Amino acid sequence: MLVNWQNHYAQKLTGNIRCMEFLQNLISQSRLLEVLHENLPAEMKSDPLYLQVEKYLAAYCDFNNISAEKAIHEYTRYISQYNKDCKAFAKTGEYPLEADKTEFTISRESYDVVLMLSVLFTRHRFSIMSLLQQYAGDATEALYIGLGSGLEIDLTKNSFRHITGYDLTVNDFLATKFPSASLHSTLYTGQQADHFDAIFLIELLEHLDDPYDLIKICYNSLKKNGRVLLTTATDIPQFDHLYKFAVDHMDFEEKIKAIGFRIVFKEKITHQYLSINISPCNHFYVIEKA
Amino acid sequence: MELNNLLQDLTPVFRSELDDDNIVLTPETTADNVENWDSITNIQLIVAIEKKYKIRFTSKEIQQFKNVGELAESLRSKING
Repeated sequence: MLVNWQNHYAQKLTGNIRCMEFLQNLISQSRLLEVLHENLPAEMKSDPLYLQVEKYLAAYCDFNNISAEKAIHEYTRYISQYNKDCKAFAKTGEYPLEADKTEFTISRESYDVVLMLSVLFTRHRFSIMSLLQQYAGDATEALYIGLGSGLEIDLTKNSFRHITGYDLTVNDFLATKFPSASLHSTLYTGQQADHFDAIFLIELLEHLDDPYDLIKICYNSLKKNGRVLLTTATDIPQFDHLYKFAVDHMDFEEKIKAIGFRIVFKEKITHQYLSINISPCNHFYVIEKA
Repeated sequence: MELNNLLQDLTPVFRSELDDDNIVLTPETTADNVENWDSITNIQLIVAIEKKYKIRFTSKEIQQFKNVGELAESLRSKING
């Protein structure tokens, strides 16, 4: 028994060291990442959630054969593009997709890595993940729409007995990581009615033409008193953002109430790296089927 | 290197990183005076300066620079050793 526990802790320690090595490797190879990392608050870097994201990123990169060099290259490329798009947005008020100026392309795997890195290097994305974990709740059936790397599932998986996920493409890593989950490579159009206790729409709605269509679908898919955990994006001119949520969320709140939800919790998350004349922010909401 | 010469030497770096060929640096120049100079580009600017002069600023130094003059003074002390 003692030997088993020793093995358990030795394996756990080895896993933690491997993932810490991956992040340290990234930081040691990129001055930009080093500066970003140094500027983070100590309590964020010592948060267990931070280590969990590090581990997940390392495992994802390992599975998909993404090297530290490739991760750095893609993250730097992404930041540069975002910076350019912010400057253009400050002048025109238009998102790149709206202005039909979307020359930026990135593979799904690289994009997943970039988004996970931004959780580790920016406070606002870490805050979103922290709120997500905090408000996941305890229930039976969870639905995740827009899976990406699967990080959101990993952060909340212990809250649910059964997990269902939908995305247009599902990375094979997710099937390996979450073998009991029902993952579907297709659009969610309300396949299951009155079924879910919780639905996650994290960093998804801004990618849609009409986010309220999906919120209505989610309403019908929830059990009574079921909850949606969602985020919105305001003044974030990312290359693939489509829907601009107003700074004032009165209209958003009126619309979700009209659908039949009540607001349980909301928080505004401002971005640390502000661009001239724009104030990017996210809103995190927990809404309940009344 | 004298401060004025250093500012001239730094100008192409600022123009390139901030994508603005009209930037004229003075010791009093701050992010407020220069369009496009935000906190993301500030880090990119610092990284570009470190690369050009083969020096390193500390995280504390980066956060404390209030204007180009302070940055240039810190840079000058590092270059002159």
